[in-house]
Amino acid sequence: MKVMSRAALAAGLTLSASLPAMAQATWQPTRPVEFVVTSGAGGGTDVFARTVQAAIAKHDLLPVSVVVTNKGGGSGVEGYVYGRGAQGDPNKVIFGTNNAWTLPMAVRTNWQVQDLTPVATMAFDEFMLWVKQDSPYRSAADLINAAREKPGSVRIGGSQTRDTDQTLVALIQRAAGVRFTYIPYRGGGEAGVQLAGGHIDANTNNPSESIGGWRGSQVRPVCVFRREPLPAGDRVTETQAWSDIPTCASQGLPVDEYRMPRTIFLPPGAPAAAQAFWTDLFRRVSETPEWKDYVQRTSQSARFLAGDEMRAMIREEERATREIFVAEGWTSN
Amino acid sequence: MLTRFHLELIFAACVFAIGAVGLYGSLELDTGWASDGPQAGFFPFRVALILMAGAVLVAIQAVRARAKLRPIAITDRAGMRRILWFGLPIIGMVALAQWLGLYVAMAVYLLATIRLGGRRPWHTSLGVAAGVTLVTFVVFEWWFQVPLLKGPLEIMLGLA
Amino acid sequence: MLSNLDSLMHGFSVALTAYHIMLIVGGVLLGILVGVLPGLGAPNGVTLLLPLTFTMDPVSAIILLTSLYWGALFGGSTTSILFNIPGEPSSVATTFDGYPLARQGRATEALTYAFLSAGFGALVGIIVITLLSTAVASFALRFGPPEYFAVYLLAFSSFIAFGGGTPLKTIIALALGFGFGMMGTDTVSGAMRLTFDVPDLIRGISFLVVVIGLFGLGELLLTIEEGPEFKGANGRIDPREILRTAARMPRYWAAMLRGSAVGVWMGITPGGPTAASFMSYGIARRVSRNGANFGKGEPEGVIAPETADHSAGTAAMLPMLSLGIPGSATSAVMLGGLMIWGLNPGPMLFVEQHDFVWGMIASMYLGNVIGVVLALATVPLFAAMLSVSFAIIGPIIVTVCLVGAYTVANAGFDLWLAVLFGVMGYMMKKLDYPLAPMVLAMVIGDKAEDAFRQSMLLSNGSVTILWSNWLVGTLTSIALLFLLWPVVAMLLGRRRASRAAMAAARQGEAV
Repeated sequence: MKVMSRAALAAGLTLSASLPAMAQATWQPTRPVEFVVTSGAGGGTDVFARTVQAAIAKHDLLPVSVVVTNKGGGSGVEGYVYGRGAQGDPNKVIFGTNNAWTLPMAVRTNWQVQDLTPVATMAFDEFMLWVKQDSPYRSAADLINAAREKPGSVRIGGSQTRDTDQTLVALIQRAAGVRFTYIPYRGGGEAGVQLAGGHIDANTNNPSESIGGWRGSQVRPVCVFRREPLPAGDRVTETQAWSDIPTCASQGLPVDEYRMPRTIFLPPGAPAAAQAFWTDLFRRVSETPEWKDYVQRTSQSARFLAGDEMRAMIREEERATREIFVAEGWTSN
Repeated sequence: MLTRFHLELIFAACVFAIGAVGLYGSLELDTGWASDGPQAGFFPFRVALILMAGAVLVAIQAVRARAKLRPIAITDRAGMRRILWFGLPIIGMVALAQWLGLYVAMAVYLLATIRLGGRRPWHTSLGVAAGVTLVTFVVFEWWFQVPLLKGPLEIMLGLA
Repeated sequence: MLSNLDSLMHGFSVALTAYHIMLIVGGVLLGILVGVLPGLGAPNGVTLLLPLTFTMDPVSAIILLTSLYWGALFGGSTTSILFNIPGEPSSVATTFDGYPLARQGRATEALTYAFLSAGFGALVGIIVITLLSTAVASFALRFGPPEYFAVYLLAFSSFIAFGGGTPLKTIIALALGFGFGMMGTDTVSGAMRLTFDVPDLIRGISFLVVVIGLFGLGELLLTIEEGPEFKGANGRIDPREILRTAARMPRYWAAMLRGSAVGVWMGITPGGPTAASFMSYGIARRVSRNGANFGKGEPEGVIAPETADHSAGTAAMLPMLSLGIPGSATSAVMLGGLMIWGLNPGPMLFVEQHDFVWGMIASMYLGNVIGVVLALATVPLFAAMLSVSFAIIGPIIVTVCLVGAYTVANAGFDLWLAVLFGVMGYMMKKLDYPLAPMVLAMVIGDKAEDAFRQSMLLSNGSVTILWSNWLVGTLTSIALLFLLWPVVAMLLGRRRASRAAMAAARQGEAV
């Protein structure tokens, strides 16, 4: 704590020093900025932040240098605690997902999502239900029926505990009135390989986490948790494209939509001018070919949200998630 | 003078304390074995108990063998002095780093230890202190973009 | 297999261009640099170069990044041997005999042994990849949580079973390691464990910070206590010594082959290089004729972990590419890079990206050969550092250690931790507590616990899952045999339990 308050103090010092030079309406970073990544190196959020960094560098969108630091300890808690400690510092930009509001529900933390200064949501990552290539389950209904016949016999793997994957599994259980056994792994990649090896019966990976396995005929997607199928695109395997995968709701699995936003925040109490600057910057990033390429390749849905729109999205998502957390008894506060 | 006997007891006390703290921490968790296997506190609880029991056993062994352990000095007076002369500045550097950043602390530490501890001439001490700090700065901040702890000085110079 | 050789030839035609060789040399040199500095590791180097690679052809990009990784593996051994500070986690085991050798004034010899055996291990790893690429990938798929657990248990028991130190103190060291490793978030339940609401403990205690404290700072305290100068270290550099050492290498062929086998096994299974080096060291200590000399400066104690470390590092590239399993922090970053270059790790990579995969495999041969040569070329440079007076080099090592501790998580708190573990390391050394079991318990303890509890989730709390198929059953049984042999031997009333244990270990090897 001592370190953090000191960092905050230091940040405050520079802030007050540069205040006179800074007009109220515009703000611009004058010293190196830090992108705080709430996942380990190589994780989804890490690739997200580094893609943004690369696009910024390529198009010279920032006058100062960018340092990316990974603070993925405690499923990302570390990064937010760090951001919380840098109160008011507009030079620290926090990259995350919906973990900004799910983590404070699951574990005791010293921040709430309302404390953070929202900057932008740049994309939504989709979720799919995957089974092994030679699995007897052809549709979501098959899987649910199997679970209904023998509760707990169907094993679904996912990344981490009380995180997006397990929340989705809980949603499915509630919607279909069945019980699965959830196995937490360290990440989606591992859950994908465990499925390919037949150690679990299904997983809820993002498209980009299992595309290699699908093309290699190890696993196949059963349905997508979306209101309509993914937009048409190139074929992924020899016969199918992402758009050929039906929605889960159409297969008798009544979960209409589930997705993970890719979010960006500033520490609590960051000046409004800085918030506006970063929102504008990331809007420009979202128009670069590098960004579009990344979104397309990872089969995410590009959708830029900021300001009130983003706040409303967070409120809605937080409410829905809290409902599940309370029902499952996962809340810590 | 610090003897082997005393150090055995001191370290056993540390281990016991670590175990006790661990025990306290693990009791906040479920320490049982449920239908889905061991719970979060299962292993921490047992490891804490092993540490506490082990510490007690080591202490008992030490007391029983005290006649043999008492005459063994951990280090002589000169050795002790060298350790303190070497160790205390490290603690000073770490404390200073929390406040002034790693670079300033590093430079001050190197200058002080090489000049005062090592009794090297001023130009050598200054050269090493400035050189190492500068090389570290260039390698970490510029080449590899790994930011180290910075303090007010770097902020004043516009480096942080 | 023959078609693989064809593919390899094709790979060489891709990799053998002036541009690629330049990338290899540059990558290896940069890798040696980051490997030598404890504050930086291969992940930092790869992260640094990643933005550069966005505009490159994927083959050139992966050649650059993997070359850097090989360089870092070589460089990591240097500080382990010279200053007892492991530059990389996987070179901790190299300190056990490498540093004593350096203290005896045989630094050049120790470094030469380390680099040559590392190069040998790497080549064995690559040859296995070349010949068995397809079989290995499908074998790796067989590993679920129970198999993971069995692999960790095997690595653990082969290192621990017949180690030195009194049993009581070994148990305390192990428990300390397990305990420190448990702190932070628990993967299986998602709960914070033993963090006591201290924000700095959320990420847990980093193994690297502990090692820097225990080995680096702790050793400095021991050194300074004995006298103001490095004992016996001499800065006289004799390039012929490198050649003489190289000429002695072949007599350690058994240790090299054994180390490579352990390394390849641990690289393909999810054990990883760090556990491989410990396991190899443990087995070598038991099997070798010079077993009693281990820990006091025995060349085989350098060769065994180094060959295993590198063969595991190279062999692990295969599951990474064909399955997308990141075996280490470095490969996690590389996998991220793969996605950015527009490639998806998976079985199809081998089918569709022929140039990429085989170009990379071919470059691994070149990269490691170049790595050995460049690393050896740096030996005189590093050995010369030993001739600098301790009054100057001592404080510099302290700053290097602390910078290293800080960079692990960019946390000032870790500086205090490193100092604390430095004092602890000093006391433990003085009281004959073994440090290695503590470090090993930290490395594999929490992974083993996760795997065990995942297995229990799968089996509804029944431990019989550890014998549920021939693979996991065999692994578990051998591991338990290793672990319990001293007890069994004692129960049978054998007088020379330790000799029997050694014989058993040899049989265990053969199984």
